[in-house]
Amino acid sequence: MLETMIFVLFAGLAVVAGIAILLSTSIVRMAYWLITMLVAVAGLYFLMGAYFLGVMQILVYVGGVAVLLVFGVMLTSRQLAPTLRPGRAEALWLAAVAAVLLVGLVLSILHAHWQPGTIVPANSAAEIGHSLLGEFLGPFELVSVLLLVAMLGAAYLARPKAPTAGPQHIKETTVL
Amino acid sequence: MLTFERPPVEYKGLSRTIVRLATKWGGIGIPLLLRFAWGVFLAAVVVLIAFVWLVQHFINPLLPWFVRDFVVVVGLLAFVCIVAIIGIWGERKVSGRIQSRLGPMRTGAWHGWAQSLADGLKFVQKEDLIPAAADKPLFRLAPYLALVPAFCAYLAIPFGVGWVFREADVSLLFVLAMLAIEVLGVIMAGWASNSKWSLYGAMREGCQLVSYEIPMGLSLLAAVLSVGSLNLTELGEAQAGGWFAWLLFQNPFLFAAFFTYYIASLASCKRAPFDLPEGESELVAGFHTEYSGFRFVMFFFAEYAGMFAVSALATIIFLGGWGSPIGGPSSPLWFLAKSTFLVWVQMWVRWTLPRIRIDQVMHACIKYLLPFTLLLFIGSSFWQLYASPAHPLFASLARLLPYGLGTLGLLLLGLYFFGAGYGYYYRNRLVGQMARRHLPGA
Amino acid sequence: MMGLTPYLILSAILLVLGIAIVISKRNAIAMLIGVEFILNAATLNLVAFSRHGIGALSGQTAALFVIVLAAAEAVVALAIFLNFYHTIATVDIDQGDQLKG
Repeated sequence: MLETMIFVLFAGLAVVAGIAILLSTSIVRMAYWLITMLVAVAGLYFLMGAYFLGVMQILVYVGGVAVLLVFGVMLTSRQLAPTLRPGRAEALWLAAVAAVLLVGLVLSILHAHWQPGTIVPANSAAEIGHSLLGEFLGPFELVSVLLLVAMLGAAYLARPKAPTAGPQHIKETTVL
Repeated sequence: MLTFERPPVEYKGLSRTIVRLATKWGGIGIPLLLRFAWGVFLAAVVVLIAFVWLVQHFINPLLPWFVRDFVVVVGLLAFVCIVAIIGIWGERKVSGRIQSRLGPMRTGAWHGWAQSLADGLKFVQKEDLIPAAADKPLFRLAPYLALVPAFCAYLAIPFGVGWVFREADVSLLFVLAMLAIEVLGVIMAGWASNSKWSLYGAMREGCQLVSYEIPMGLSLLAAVLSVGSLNLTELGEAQAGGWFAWLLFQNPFLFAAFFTYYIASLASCKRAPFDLPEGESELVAGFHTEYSGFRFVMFFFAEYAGMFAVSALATIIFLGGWGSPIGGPSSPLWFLAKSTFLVWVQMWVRWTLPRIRIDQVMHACIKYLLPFTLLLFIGSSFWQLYASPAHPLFASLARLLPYGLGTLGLLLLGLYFFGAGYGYYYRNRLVGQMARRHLPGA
Repeated sequence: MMGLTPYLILSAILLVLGIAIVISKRNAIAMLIGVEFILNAATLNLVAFSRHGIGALSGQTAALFVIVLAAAEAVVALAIFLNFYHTIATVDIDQGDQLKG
């Protein structure tokens, strides 16, 4: 009963965050709704007993990726420029596509016969650590190399360059 | 230039009644309160202890768990507020003494102890200014996003063996995660103020906080390796049995890790020498320039709450948590004493060292602190490998090491007291006759 | 006890929301936010299955990898967007219609 209440709370928060991003008018607010969603999903991980994963979600996603996104937003948006919103026809098409997709997914979920398994008890970091160094050792090392490559690549791509005169036909507006 | 949308608000309704009562009776009541402050304080403490005892023995078993949890959470919130209040007063006294002056002396009969209360009252009655071009919902949300995670960190910190709100197997990472969310509140504050001073402060602060989380985490992980658990209670209990069992003294790498963690935590709390985000002499007030009144108080509380939280982490992991260094029963009071000592050292460092530029801050983190902590991590793990029973010679040498490191620690402490004594003995020569005659306490 | 289905349905809703955000927004960073929604939906799915016995703990480990990979992808994507912004003074992806530069 309590578990259902907490699930509804966090799930509702995540869905509300998504809808708020769709309807929002400011890119900064979208970034902060994303943070709300990430924290709600972390709460769901805690509810499911994946404590280490939930804490990692907050540390890495909220404390790292979301901060990076907010930095990106602050570096690339101009606050006082006028904002543009999608038109009526676009919104209708979007709703139709989303509805079709959602209905299809939900129907397939409800009609599939999932094998009822035993619920894995809440675990700690030790078992995940063992599996990282045991069963998942290959992916672990590969992900380390990938992180190194990503860091180097991003540092190279975002290096300071001599300013060039960009195409002149672009209006300076803030887009959604 | 601030523009106002409409003139300042006139109070209506309940607020109006409260303000009128406060100004009518407050003019008499507050000085009375401060005149007999000691009596009021002692009475409050006695009432509180009686209440806690009553609740614990008679009411506690009857209440459902969420009411008990709620009471504990309110107690933790009160603790955080008291820590912040005492921290603000302590900061002003410590800064005063370091600058050869006395600090607050008037509000409250003894050394201005009620200065924080007076500051709080002053802030609460200030006008709530929001810049017209600011992003109002985000502007209002930012202080909460800074304060609430700083408070949530306290939910997982054990003050003693049974004294923790919720024991979690990953409580160390949970505390670090909560301290990491604060970054977003500060960035939001800087952005939503729509002022370039705030924005510069916010971006610098974001860089700094996020970068210094890594040496913080690595230093703590070097200690976690020795114990093998992320649970803060287990980390504290693994150091029971006297000062030589403290993780600080087990390992020369852990000895260095304590200092790197301390430095990284200074940067993580935006304290000098890393306080460029709130650089007073440079950016007006950094990211909280546009905040006045109670919103500013929330940022301040978040800072002091964060200071105590990182000191509490350092205490639990390196300094033996709630164990007593002189051999005796372990108790939460030792924990509080050690954490307060570390907070005092933070204040001392703040008012001694000059501020570092942002590029120096980033260089220090990425070029020096990060490789050094990586080396400490590797060294600590190798030490664990060789100090096991498989290598008896090394293991027996390693068992002598805590005493050696403890002696080193005592030597460093002795060096400090020697320096202090020297400065006190020759204070005429060092501070000067004029200063001694005219400045109180010089 | 909660069953598996509510988590799966929530994951489907988040996935569709993420796709809608990616489709409908013109700001490159808003698209990145949508991609984060999609990744989180998939991770939630993985962890839900892992909790209900299918795959034991490998679901959570895989979820850890997804978090790490999402971080790496966000970093590279933002670097690219910053480059984009330096060339054209906006992050409107509709304006990115030239292969030069």
